[in-house]
Amino acid sequence: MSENTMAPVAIDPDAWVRSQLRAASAQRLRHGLSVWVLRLVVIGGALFLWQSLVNARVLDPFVVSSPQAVGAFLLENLGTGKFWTDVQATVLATLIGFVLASIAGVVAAFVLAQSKHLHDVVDPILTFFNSMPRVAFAPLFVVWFGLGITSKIVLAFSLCFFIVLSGALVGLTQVDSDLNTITRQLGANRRQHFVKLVLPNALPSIAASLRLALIYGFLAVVVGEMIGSSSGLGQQIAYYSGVLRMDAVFGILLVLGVLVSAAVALMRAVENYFLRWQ
Amino acid sequence: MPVKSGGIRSGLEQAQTPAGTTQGLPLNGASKQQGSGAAISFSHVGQYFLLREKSGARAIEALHDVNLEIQKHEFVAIVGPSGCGKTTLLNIAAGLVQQQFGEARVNGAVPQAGQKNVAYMLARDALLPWRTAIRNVEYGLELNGVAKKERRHRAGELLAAVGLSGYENAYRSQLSHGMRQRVALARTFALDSSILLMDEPFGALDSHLKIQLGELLLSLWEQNKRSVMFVTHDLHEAIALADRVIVMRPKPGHIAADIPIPLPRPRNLNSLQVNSEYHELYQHIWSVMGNV
Repeated sequence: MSENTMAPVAIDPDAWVRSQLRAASAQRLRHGLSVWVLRLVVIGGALFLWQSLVNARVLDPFVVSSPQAVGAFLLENLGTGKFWTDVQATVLATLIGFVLASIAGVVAAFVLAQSKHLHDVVDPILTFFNSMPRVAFAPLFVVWFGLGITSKIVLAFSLCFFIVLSGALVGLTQVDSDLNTITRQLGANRRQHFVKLVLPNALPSIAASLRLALIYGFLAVVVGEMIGSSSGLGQQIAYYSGVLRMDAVFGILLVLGVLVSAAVALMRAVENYFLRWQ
Repeated sequence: MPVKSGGIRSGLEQAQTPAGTTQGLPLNGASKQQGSGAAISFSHVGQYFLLREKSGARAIEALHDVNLEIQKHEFVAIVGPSGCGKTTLLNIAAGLVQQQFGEARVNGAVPQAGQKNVAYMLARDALLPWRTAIRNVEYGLELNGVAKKERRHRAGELLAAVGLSGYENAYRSQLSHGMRQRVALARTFALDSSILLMDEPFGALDSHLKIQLGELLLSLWEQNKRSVMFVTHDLHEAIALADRVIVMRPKPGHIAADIPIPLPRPRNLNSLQVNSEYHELYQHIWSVMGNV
């Protein structure tokens, strides 16, 4: 600040800032462009390799299908109402399970964070339930809750709940002790302490756990639909693998991948906005 | 009980009570009397901590019979090596630690965490990372229900006073260490508390920034003299800032000396560096501190 070293050349600071910003955005654009080009090259290369190996009869198209066949399936089906009904069923079950589990997980974490005693009591019990492979419950849930959407929601809930609970619990209980001291010293009451310190402090880990939970929610619903369902993309996968339509299986998997990636990207964008201080 | 009560201490290190304040302690039993009396007082304060080791647990005497009064508008620095109990003493005044023996009073009342007339500052900035600089400065005002317009105005003034106008909307991650500590300093002054408790507030800064922020602290303090209890392990800083330097020594933590600093005010910390009286005081206190 008080350094005596002056730049030998006089510069217009505003112009300098503008040129720096321009350079930075050009740099970002170049980077983004090259990333996308290379990405498409990688994807295209893989598809090309796949197609060539099938064409050369190195791979059996009956077993691995081919990009061409998958594309044909998608072209044929993406426009149909039946396909979108299935997409809707899967997405709806996932969202309901995910949202319910997120609310319940955060609330449960809040309750457990209030009392170390209670936390110590239930911690191993929660760990026990969380370490069970919930997917194995899918047939059970189908028996209990039927072939409809309910069994899928319950399965998704059982996975998402524990993910959100443990993430939120970490966030709500790990508050920096200096921030705690300062907040107390500045005269915060219990409510202010929670609203202004504990909650914002927990947001990054809650957000990370929500993202993870969404991915596992899709997984749970698709598995549930494969086990027993009247609709949904999972049910379609189960059906097409049964009749050895590999093109259809891959096509549906592609759609699922795109759906989940888009949902996660959306969540990340929301997160980046709210956690821009990081 | 393997508790030692500090039997081997030379006369020099004997806990002293500053002359003129011995008969003080007017607050014993009369805690309502707030008009006169010291800003902070400790009488016969003692504190043990439990130390667990492989060989078993034992009690460590962190503070032994500490008597100290800090008058209104007085700037008192407490120096001593680590483990001498200086931070414990500060935290008793802050209401964060409840002493086991003796009495502590802040403005005549039993110390309580969150007391409105006390501001507290740490070596780490303790800024909320999700708040901008100005919203960190107004944090205390917000917790105390000051209207948004008013607190924003006050916080803006304080940010300007610590040389950070233009950084109102910067997040902690965008500020340097020195800037963060300036924001923390502004937050400390925002509530207009009559007592400042500072625990090595500049301890994590380099010596140049230390002097800069010391100057800043003094200039804020000169405008509206508050009572300051300033804990540090840096004797240079203590002498430069304080009206009185309290020397503490460990095993058990006790007050070894209470030395007035007659340097005139307002002080310029840079010119102090070439002031002979300052250096004589330094040598004197250094010899009192001994080789601990």
